[in-house]
Amino acid sequence: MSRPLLRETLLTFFVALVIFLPITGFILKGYDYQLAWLRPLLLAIIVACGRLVLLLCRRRSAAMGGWLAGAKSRLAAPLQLLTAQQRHLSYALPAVLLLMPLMVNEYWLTVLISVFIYILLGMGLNIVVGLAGLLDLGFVAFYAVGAYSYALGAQYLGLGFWTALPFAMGLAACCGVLLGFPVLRMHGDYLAIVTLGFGEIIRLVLNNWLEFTGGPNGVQAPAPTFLGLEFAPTATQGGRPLHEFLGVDYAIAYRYTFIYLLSLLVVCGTVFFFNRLKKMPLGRSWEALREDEIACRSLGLNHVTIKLSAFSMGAMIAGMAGVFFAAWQGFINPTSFTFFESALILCIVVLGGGGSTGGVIAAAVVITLLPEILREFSDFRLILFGGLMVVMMIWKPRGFVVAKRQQFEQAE
Amino acid sequence: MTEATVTGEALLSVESLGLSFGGLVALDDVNFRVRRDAVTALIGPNGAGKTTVFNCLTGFYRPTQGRIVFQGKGGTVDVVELLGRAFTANDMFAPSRLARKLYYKMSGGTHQIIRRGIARTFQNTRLFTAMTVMENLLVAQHQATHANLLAGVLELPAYRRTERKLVDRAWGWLREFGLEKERNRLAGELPYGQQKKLEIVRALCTDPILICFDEPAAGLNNSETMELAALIRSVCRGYGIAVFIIEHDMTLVMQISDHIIVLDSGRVIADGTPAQVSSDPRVLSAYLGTEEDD
Repeated sequence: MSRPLLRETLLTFFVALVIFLPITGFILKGYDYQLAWLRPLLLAIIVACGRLVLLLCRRRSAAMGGWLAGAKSRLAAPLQLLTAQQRHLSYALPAVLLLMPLMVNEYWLTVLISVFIYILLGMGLNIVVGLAGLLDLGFVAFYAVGAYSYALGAQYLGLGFWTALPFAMGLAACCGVLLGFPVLRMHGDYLAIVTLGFGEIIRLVLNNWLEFTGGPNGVQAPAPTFLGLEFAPTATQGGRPLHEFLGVDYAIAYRYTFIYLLSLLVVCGTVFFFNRLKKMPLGRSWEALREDEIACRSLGLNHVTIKLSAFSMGAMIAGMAGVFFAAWQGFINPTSFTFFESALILCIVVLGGGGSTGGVIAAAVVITLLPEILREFSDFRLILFGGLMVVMMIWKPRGFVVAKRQQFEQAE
Repeated sequence: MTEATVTGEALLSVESLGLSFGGLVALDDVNFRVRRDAVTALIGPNGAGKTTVFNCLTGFYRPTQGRIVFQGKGGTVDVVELLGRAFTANDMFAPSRLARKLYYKMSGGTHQIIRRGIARTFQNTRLFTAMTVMENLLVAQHQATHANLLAGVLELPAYRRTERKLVDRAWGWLREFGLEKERNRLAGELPYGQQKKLEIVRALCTDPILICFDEPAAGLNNSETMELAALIRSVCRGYGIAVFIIEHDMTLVMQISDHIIVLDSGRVIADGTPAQVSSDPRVLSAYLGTEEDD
């Protein structure tokens, strides 16, 4: 063993010993304590051994690098096979998604609904952050506006699901414009702080305006209806319950199935809309604004309308997601709309890759399914997300999927 | 000063333009004209106020006094008024003036300038670096796009025709500047010389009447500068677009311009043909004689 290697290992051993001694070495016994030498010593030895292994590995980093590259290509081989069969996969996917309610139980159906809702939210924020480059930390506000306009609309105005949908989208879009006006001249960090504040204002208003919103007690949101059929045990909105119509027993799965299928449809529509928008003059001007605002103005783009349109379009999609959320949950209160949700949505966009569609969908699926699959580790959820973010930023700073650009060929 | 030697129809006339930032006077009573069918150059030592004049013309600064009258698309317009002037107490007694100010305040702004036909490039290129070359040019042509959102989402035939037309037009310009092979590359990936060219193409795509170049040759080597000079000449001659240019490279300026304006400390000190300007003693002392190397 060479001298620097030995020195490094010994240093690690002593540092570890110093750190572990006060943490693990003293055992409290009533008002007295007992010194346990063995435990910190053992831990320090383990740490030192680990350090040694790491150092040895680094020495052979060239060999290791080659091995890693080999492993990578071995891993990538089945993926390449997948791309060859992607055509078949893309035919099978819609069928699988449509038949999903028959294959899985209620629990997984609700998980899939929440995946769809997060895809919608991710798409909405992708317009604001990914395309227009406006960092929005209060995106959940528009989600809350959507959900509450359905629940409160039903309570005070007697709005049904289908009336509430455009109403909520419009209201959320108006809120987007409302937020957009004061932040027209802001960029980067300043913009992020203001949007963060906006998100909190909406949440606090919902929380404290007891007479109108019910405050922390929340509001009931009615079950959705479809052509006069209701998805509730008894008819409350003047229609007929679905199970009576079909002559079967009531089950909540009907409601979930309906919301599942409807949100699937809406997600497909939104993805289509988003993809087209990206190629359209409006989408191009959003991206141009993100790249260089001064150049935009010199080319005659009105930055005011472009920014406001990005805010309102993103908010509109979030409002729609909010209506689905309320209809699915049947009950909403302000705790569903905290800053953590905003951070989660931003996480989806950043992980997925700003401006890309496939990446955001994949990220929404991962972010929503991961906590469900790893139920036992729920205490470590945030650590997991944080770790994932750090790893992504180091290896793939532009997200899972880098957005593809439109290619132009000459006309014949 | 050598007045009345440069004749021709004035496309743009700057009248007693003044701009001060607080107590600092950047421009003081600047008067000049830009002809419709010529290359006009604005030169002067560093800090003379050249870029300030430029920013006034293209609507990035609001002059504190004077007029910039431009014979643009949709008639004669005062650029300063187009930006939206501040209201004064006197406006209350002149309803028509108040109404006009209000109208420009609501609709005006920097983005209105190019709609009248003044395009510009920047001293340090300002391309949309994460977008492709073609997308850069399509953004520039947004005035001509099909504005209906629904038509775009559904890709109706009218929308597709318009998009095709814009791509074809951009294609024409790219071919003119030898950039058509780079159309699908990201603008930020291009070498510097090509980025400079692309910025010029982007300005041309806006269908301007007057195009303002802010130091187009900065950072280019000798052969690239010569190529650029030829291109600028051909733009002016071939398409009848007036050119207004700021440049430090004196060989380029002398070679391409028909009319030179010399600015020093925010004032015009000479105005005339290249021959007249280069023999003007004031110019020699202020600019060519002392600061030739910069």
